[in-house]
Amino acid sequence: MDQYEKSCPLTQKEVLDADFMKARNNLLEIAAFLDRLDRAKALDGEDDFRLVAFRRVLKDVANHESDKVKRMQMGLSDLSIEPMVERDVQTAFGAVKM
Amino acid sequence: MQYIDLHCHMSSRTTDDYHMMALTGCVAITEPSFWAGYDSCTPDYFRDYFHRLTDYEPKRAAQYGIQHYAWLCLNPKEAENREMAKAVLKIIPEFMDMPNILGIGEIGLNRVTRNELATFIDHVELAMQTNELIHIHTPHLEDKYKGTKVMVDTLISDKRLTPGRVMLDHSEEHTIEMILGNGFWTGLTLYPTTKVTHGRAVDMIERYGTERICVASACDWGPSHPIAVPEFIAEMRRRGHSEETIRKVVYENPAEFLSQCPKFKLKHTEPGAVLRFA
Ligand SMILES: [Zn+2]
Repeated sequence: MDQYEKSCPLTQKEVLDADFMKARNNLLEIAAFLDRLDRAKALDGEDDFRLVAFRRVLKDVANHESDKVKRMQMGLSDLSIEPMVERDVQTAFGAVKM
Repeated sequence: MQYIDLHCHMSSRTTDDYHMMALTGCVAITEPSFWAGYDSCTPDYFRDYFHRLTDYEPKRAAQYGIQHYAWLCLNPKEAENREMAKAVLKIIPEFMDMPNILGIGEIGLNRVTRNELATFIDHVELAMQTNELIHIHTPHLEDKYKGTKVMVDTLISDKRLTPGRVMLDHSEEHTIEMILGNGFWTGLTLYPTTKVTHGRAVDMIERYGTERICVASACDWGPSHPIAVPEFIAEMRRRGHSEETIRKVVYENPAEFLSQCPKFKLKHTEPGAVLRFA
């Protein structure tokens, strides 16, 4: 069912022409977010589970292996299967709270 | 191109949104039961809400030539409250015979708790009693993989259930294979920040094909986009996909899934559409 290679009907040049500017901007936004954290008046979030997870999955963008989105999704997921005893909060955080 | 948006919470949207959807080709929508943004204080709220979904909203949509269908349940956001769930499960049968009700939904899990799972199973039991279609919300963000896995395992262990009559909605890159691989339908939700963008939805269509996949806006009272489906159509065209492929995803597929409930009947058929009915 899953076809990875050559499943996009565009050539690499066409993808670059269409999407490079947007992707470049997204990348700068991530860099700015990390700079903002560095410049924060208190460095009280260095071991926050969200930042730790963010820095961990960021490595998946830079490596050359395929299927990066799925790898990042799994890196940000709760992989346990046991239901929680009681609901803690109404809304998910985006990374697993340790 | 005509399209069906399978997941819209129109009770939280303005009439201008119906207008915009109609102008961009929307011919039918289905509205799953939602959460008001805060936990309800009394089960009586749901009687009013179900009345709105079965009477007021279909009339409002009809003014714009849009067919309005709905699903009934206690939304997973409130499923932790077992007392409320038991009370609402008693109200639902009062409305199941209404002409625009297609089944039970959107049931599912939110934070994947024991109570939420018990409420989910109660709703599946209710659906099984009269062989209803089931529409399922899979949890967000870090809970999506776990919640989807727990529900898929629960559903496939129930031999009474036909996976082709169940939609597990809001799939993403890490859950789509387990949903489709077990014979269920799925939906890609074009919702900013917490679900998928048009680009990623098209990526998933390119990788997994067009069988048993629909797209929807899931527009509600949060930052969301009632004309997300036409935006997806534009992105598909930009990538060079054929009109037949696009029509299958935005029109023929939702029609095929929903037509398994005999109450779902499209008033007009898109020229050239191939409708496969169960
Ligand atoms: Zn919804």
